[in-house]
Amino acid sequence: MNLKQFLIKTFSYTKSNNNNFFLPKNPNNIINLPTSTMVSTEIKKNLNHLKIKYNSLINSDIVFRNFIININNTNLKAFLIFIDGMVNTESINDSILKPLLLKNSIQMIEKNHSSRKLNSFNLKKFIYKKLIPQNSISTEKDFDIIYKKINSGYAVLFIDTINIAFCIETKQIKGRTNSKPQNETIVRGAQEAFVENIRINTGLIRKTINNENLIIENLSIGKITNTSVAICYMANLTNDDLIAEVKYRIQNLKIDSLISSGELEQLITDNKTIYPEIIATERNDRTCNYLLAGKIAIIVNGTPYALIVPAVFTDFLSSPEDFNLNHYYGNFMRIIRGIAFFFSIFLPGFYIAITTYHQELIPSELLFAIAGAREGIPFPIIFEIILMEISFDLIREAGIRVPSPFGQTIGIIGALVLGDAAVSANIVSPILIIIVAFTGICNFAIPDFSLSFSLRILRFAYIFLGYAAGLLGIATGFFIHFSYLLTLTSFGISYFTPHIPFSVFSKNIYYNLKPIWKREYRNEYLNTKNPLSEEHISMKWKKNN
Amino acid sequence: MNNKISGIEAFFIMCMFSINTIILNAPKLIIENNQTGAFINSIYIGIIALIFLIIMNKLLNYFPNFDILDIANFLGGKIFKIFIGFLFILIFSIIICTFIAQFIILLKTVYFKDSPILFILMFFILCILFSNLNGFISIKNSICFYFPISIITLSFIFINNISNFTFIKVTPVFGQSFYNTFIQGFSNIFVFTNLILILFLPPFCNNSKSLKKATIFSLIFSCILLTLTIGILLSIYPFDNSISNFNPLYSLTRRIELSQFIERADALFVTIALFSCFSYIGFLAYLITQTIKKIFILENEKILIYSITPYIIGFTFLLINTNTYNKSDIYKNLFNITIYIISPLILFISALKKKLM
Repeated sequence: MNLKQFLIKTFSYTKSNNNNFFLPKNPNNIINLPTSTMVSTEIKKNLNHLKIKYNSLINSDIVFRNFIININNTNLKAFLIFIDGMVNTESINDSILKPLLLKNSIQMIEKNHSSRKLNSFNLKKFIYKKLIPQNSISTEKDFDIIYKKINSGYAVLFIDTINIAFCIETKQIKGRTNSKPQNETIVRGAQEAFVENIRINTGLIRKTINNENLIIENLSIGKITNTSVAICYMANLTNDDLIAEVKYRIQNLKIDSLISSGELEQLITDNKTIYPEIIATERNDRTCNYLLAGKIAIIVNGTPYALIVPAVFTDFLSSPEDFNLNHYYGNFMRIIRGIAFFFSIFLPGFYIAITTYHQELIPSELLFAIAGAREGIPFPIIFEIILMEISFDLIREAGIRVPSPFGQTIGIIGALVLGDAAVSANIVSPILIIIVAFTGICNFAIPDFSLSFSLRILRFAYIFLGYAAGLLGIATGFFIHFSYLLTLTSFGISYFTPHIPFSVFSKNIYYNLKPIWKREYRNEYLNTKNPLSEEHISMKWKKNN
Repeated sequence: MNNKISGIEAFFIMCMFSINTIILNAPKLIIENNQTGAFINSIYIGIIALIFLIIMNKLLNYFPNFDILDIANFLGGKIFKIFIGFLFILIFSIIICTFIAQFIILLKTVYFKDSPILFILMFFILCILFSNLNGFISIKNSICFYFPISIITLSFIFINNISNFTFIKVTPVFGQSFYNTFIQGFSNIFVFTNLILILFLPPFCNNSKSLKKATIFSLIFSCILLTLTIGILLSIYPFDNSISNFNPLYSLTRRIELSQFIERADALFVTIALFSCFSYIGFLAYLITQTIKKIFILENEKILIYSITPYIIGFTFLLINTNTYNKSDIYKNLFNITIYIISPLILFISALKKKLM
């Protein structure tokens, strides 16, 4: 046995085949799963097949409704299978069961058909065309497709002597209806957010973009969950290569389950990085804006967020409000957010660097004030700042986790009482409380949750660097950090586009949001099919005279 | 992403080289050599460097997208290529390590009196390591990002020192003598370290025409910047005997007054100088790895990057311990001989060989 094997044997986990369960082993418990994959002409076989597949004895929400249809005085056995809770029962009653079971209505229809025509083939046609007044029906023979249909809320009808199943769309998944945005609130603009149901979300987008060029493609991800994923784009705007790339990445995911868009985001990003590379938005108006700019929206069933690709760094500092307001306000807010970004990541590091190494930077009066405030504090400055930063993050986390009525209270108690007590107890200096609180406020001003999270983590790195070597440490950290950021891409597009790589005549620059009548061009980096988003003179009414 | 550089990016990279030379030592060395004649001398060497550049560009026309190593290979085969490769590796190493050593000494003197040199050096090494691991795109983009910041900062320093100008100090503009300013002062041409790039940039460039334009404009820009810096330094400091042992540009930053909010802003300017320094040494280290890769036809770049870092540490320590980092004569002659004699000679003979073939 060599050293490696010895270490593996000693320290690694080895799976045990004997679980200490109390359940007696019963060899008769083994169920033979159906092997056939195609629908049989014998209804009993189909019924047994589905009952075994869906474990109908223990599965409470799988409904099998057996009944008999009388057509031309011939009784045919039939059954309907659906999942309770995923279907509209009224629709099943009115559009499937009533037409099939009410003898009179069948006989009325029969009058137009001679009995010799009622062979097997015509029976399918007859049922399909005359008996089920439902708008969306498909006929399937393959059980694999039938499972998917049942799982997604279809009612499937089997009739004796026919080797096909009628998949009737009756889905009605109960859930939230449209609500106000919870995490991306704005003052001016629509107050409509996505919900968990994919169809409501796509409907919202369709409601905003009334155009036949809006394409919503559906894909199914996850071997077990078969989660619906909608890829939305404008066929006449979005770059074809980008569409192909997005589809390629999504279609080539070999996973068992996909529960949320957050999981999908991690599965399709270019780089494994702390920075977000895909925008996640709950706002319909923001999604539509991006679609009209030539980007692609991805919606995952079960998550009230749309993923927007590709995304560049400045997208994460933009708010949907920027476009709704006068461009002067928008630009002002963008500059404020830029400053917030800067302070959010560097301020504690700068504070520690300046107070430890570069005292000459600050005015003597302030320096004396800082020194005076720190008098009597037994801990080094690094301990103080780390303590306060961690406390701040704890308060924030606790505020989110506790039930909402207590959330605000926790924040106030944490900020006021704890801060004040810490200062009174000579654990931290009052100036540090200002620094940490200001940094926290700046962090809240970042519109994107993922970006603000990454800043929260990176801030600690700058604190340590500032403590280790002052501004030299911070400069080194920033250089390495920025150098790394320059390698990032989002769906092949450089993260700092259009600002870096250097472009002198970029038409859309973050810090210079043009007035709406001057936003003529779509972003060049998206290479859209139509680079112009409006005519050169958009306010024709002004020029006509 | 595009691995090639555009004309404007080539301009930025070349200008970044001159900015770093100016930030650290070039003006001081020229002023030490020529005193008040440094102002005219900088224009004079700029014109000569420009003539050299135009000649070299003409010769490089025979070898589109070839760097000096490819040309050496064409001229003298593999052995000659290796020899030239090592010569340039030596020059790059001397530039990097001298630069780092000077910066470290400045930082140690001003801010880190109690810290060991290795500690300060490690920050430079980390920057070299990570910028190279991130690849060429990251290096060139960071240069393009820091270049405008450096220019704005330099301008800010100059503008803020206007009140300290005494133009009489620049006189006599022709310096001590014609011999001193124009004959002895010719060796100051080494300050245009960016000329070295025209021998290495062609394979990285999209368009050879735009590269040539960029090299010419960048040299003119460097010359103007150098002349301006020398003029400003001369008009502020009395350079009659010897200039201060301190970095003169750093001394300028200490004279800046930014109202009461910031008492002394020198640390901020040093930070910006650090950014420009990191991107500069990162690019030079990249050139070293590329040269080694090319002369030995290597595939794995990462191992090379990891191995040049201890080499740079060792070389820098050697320069600091032997106190040779501020002896400009050592690399002045090596640089001048390689760039202004050996390289044009190689280009000329190769062009002749190609013409005769």
